[in-house]
Amino acid sequence: MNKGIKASSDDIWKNRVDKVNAELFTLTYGSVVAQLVRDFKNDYQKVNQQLEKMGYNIGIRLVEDFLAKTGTGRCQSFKDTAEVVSKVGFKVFLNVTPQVTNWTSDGKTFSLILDENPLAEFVELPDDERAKKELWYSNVLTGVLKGALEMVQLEVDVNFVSDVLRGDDRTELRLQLIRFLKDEMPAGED
Amino acid sequence: MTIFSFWIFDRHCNCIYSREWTQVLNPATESSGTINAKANEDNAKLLFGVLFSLRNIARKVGDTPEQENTLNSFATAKYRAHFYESPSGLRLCILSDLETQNLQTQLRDVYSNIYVEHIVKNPLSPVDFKPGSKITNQRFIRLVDRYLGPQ
Amino acid sequence: MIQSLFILNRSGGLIYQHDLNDGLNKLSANEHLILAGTIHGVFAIASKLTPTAVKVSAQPRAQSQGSAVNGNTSGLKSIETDKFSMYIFQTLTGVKFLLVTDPAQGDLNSGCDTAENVLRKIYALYADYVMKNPFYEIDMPIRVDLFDRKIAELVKAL
Repeated sequence: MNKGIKASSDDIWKNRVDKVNAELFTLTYGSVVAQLVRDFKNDYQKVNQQLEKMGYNIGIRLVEDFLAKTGTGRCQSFKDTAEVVSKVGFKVFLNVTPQVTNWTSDGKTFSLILDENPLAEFVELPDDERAKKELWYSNVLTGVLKGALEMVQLEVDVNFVSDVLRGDDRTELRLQLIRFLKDEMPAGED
Repeated sequence: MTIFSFWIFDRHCNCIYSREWTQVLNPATESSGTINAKANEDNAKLLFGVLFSLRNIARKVGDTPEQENTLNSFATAKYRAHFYESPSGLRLCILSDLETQNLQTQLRDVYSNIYVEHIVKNPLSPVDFKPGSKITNQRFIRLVDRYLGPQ
Repeated sequence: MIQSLFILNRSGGLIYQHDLNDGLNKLSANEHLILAGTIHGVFAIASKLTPTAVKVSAQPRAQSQGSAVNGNTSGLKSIETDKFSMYIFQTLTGVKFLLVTDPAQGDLNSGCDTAENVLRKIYALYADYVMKNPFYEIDMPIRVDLFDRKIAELVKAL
């Protein structure tokens, strides 16, 4: 099944996805973060929250595009969800394939390790001590994942654990399944 | 062509006959199933609701001054329901598998050859059913089984 | 020939209605809302009415590859009447697309498959022109001119 997913997501990336200049993308995101920092007067917690809210709004819309273009069906388990998110989702939208690791024994939490992060290319966090300790530069990703998975009836908690921009050795996102939103599950699915 | 169940609703919106065939998969055993089972009461009400609503939609959207639009069938990914309503308000419904396309002739046959012959023309069987009472006429049940049941 | 398209949000509220041809009666806005709500309810009840014999043995019909898998495994899929047919497509997020067309000729199942393909294309247009519109609020009525135009173009091209 893994070979199948990888091949189809490669094909979708090559042929069915419009592409944009990477520099433009990085600069646009960068200017958003910079403006937020200015607007909130360096209150990095508020910036993180705002980025997550924006990501949530993106995620709830992005998921329909994802479902319509890739034709993915419902995942049978959270493990399947992890595979689809990392191998198809990230590939189609960011052209990166993060690694899925660090599964807990109950299979409800896992980590995504991003080897490269297109949002943060050429970025260096400002030198005041608080930025490196408090700001999660790519926090929009947590919102996107939360929003997208909520639209398919999975409530998940998504957090950054480490970020190379902060001086850690790798960028790691932790996703924890809180519950299935059974009452919102659309009728007619067995 | 596999038929799962057969239902009749009178013009007072009550279910007056329900027949379910459950041994459809194993033709060797005698056909069994339920006739007018109490457990099917809720299903009967749900089915009637669905048929009534869809029939109203069909009329609302498709009626023209020349001709009334009628609901023929609806389908899910698992089964198809065929519907026939007589001008007297008697509603017949068959649930079948998806391969079966059109049972309108069969429904009309059951109505005119079995119901009209053995219930309407039978002076001893009620035509206006009180709520809760069902068709128990043995000949009717046998003929329906022979006509619609697994061969 | 396609007569009209309805889109319902997750709670069954009507968010889009477009008459593409005028073969059928014009309904008022209220009647459209009632129709939408009715279909939403009937969709779920049809799932509950699945005969027990089917639940035991069901062979899923082969689905076309490469497009959005239909999450609708047991809800209402199609309605046939003398004057029109209606087909229903539900996405994994609970959004329903209803297509009203001329009555099906010939094999009902293949008519259903054709309609499903059209609905998948419409779903792709929805994901593009509605979801990506930053001023559109989710679950609210769709008032996006670009979407109307694209739908009309798609239907004309069929």
